[in-house]
Order: sequence, then C-alpha cells, then structure tokens
Amino acid sequence: MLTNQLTAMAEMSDQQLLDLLSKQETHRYGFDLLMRQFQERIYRHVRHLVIYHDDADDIVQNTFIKVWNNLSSFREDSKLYTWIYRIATNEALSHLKSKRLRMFLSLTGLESKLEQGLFDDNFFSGDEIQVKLQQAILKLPDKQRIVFNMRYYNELSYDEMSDVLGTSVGALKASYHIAAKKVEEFVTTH
Amino acid sequence: MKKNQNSRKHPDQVKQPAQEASNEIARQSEPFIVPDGYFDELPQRVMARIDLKQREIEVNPKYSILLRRAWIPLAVAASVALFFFIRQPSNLAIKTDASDSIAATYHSIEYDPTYADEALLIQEASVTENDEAQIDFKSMSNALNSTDTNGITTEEKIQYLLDENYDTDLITEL
Repeated sequence: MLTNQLTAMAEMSDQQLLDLLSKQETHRYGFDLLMRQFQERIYRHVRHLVIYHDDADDIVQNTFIKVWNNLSSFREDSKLYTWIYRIATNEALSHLKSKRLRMFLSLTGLESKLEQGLFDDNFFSGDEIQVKLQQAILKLPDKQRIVFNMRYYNELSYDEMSDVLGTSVGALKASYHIAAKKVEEFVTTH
Repeated sequence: MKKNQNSRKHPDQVKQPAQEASNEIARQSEPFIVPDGYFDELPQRVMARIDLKQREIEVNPKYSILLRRAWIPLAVAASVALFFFIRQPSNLAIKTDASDSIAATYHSIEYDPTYADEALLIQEASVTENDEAQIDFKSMSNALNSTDTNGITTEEKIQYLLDENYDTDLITEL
C-alpha cells in the first residue's frame, strides 16, 4: 500500500518534521508527512478504545486538526508522537464520556454497546480468542484499558506512557499488572 | 498474557528505524479491519476539513459575526456619547482654558451680588482681550459717574484712579 511505502521511506525525525513545519512554504508538506508517519499508530490506539471504525475515524481526524491548530504551542520537551498520542487519548476519552452520558438513560450501558460492536461491526475479524480478549479489555475501567492497550498493542515504553498520561512509571506498572491479571482471569474463566 | 512471543520484541528494544517492523507485527495481531485505502486518503480528508474551516473563518469570521450583531448597540452608544460631548456647556471650556485672572474675573462677575445690571454682565462676559482696556475704563468710568456712589468724595475718586494706574490721558480725552 502507498501509505506503508511512504511510512517506510519517509520515517523522519521530530527535528526534520519540525523544520518543515516551521517554514511557510513547506508547512503543508511537513504536516502531510507527519500525518502519514503517525496516522496508523494513532488510529489503532483510538480504535482499540472506541471499537467502531466510524468513531475512530472521527476522533483521528479531530486529533490531527487539533495538532494543526496547536503546532505553534508544541513544546519540544516531549516527542511529537507522545504529544499527538496524548491529544488522541484525550479525544477518545471525551468521546467515550459523551457517549456514556448519551446512553445514561438507555437500558444498555456503554460497555455493552462497545461489546456489541465486536460482533456487529464489519471491520472486526478476530477469532474466538480475540473476541474474548477484547471483551475482557472492555470490562476494564477506561484509564486502565488505555494503559493495557498502550503496553500490549502499541508497545510503548513506560516512560513514553508516563509522558502521555502524566502518571508516574510506578503507577503505570501497577495499573498494567492489575489489568493484565483481570484480562487473564476473564479469558480463562469464560 | 502475551502476544506471539516469537515475533514480539521487548518495547524498550524497539528503535525508531524498526518502527515499521513493529507496525507490521501489530497489524498481524490486529482484530480490527481497516477499510481499503483508508490511510491513503486520510491526510487529504483532514486537510480538506482544515481548508474548509479556514475558508469559513475568512468569509465569515467570528469577529465579523459579533460585529454585525453588535453594531446597533455600538452605534447607539457612540451616538449617546457624541451627544453628551457636543452638549458640554461652553463655560467648562472657558474654565479649563482660561487664565487665573480671567477665570477670577468671570467668577466675580458671575457671583458678585453688587452687579445688578444684567446687560453689563452679558456684555462683559462676551468681551475679548482687545477690549480689556475699554472694560477697565468703563468700569472705572461707571464707578466714577455712578449716582449710587454712597457718598464717595472726589479725593477718594482720584485716589481710586491712582491706585488702579489708569492712563489719565485716556480719561481726559473721554
């Protein structure tokens, strides 16, 4: 696929991207490269949280629009990826919160609705084990789910996770350990 | 619970150049299917939304919306302010601009109860600097010729003239 080729070819450093973004004549080009470099990882992170492709698509678009609007305020004390990751995480959490509020009076809760998406959504191809795993992850509280996904699927280091979530490494390790235990227990008992 | 141990690398060992390999591994274990061509089109879709928003701001910026809604009360407020500014009484200008002597004179004319002649008050209030000598003369003349002198003697009148340092030649001519 074109994007894979571009990603493989054009894996640029933060400094290279920021140099392009800082100039008027290369700003759009730099932003296009930034999106192509990070979009897949951001999308997968969001998709794991919200399950439905359409929701993930909205959140990812909103994330990059926020990145565009706030590039001037990006402080280079963190990596571009962790900064974008943080924006995406906040967008996803806001989405889940508003969806939860909208479903407050419905008979089914948000978790049930998300679980339903594992079966109804045409874009889920997991086998039985994958379904159980996703069901177990959906049972976790939102933030614990984020920690688990970041570690298990996105393979971020604890330092990077700490940078994104603003939580200490020790707390993240404890959170992941508890989450992994819960997931393991659910999969083995269901 | 771990993913496929054979292909999974420790997160701390994943280096930037190998990110693509990591992406490939993640894709293999991903249960979520992405529509074909999604990532190829996503950047253009995002830029299209950004451009659209930019055009909306240029054509119909928020401040112009606010201005359109606020122009009536702003116009009214400006009119009221202008009205009160124009209607400021002229004495204020005189009071702020006049020298101490003129201001003092004005106040003495305004509030001195001995000046019963309204016509004189109006005349002296509208006088210019060029007429100042004549005013003094007139005041002096009035003082000298007034029938209501309350028994002022001639010597007192002469003394008055001398005290005020009037040009006696002028008096002689008149």
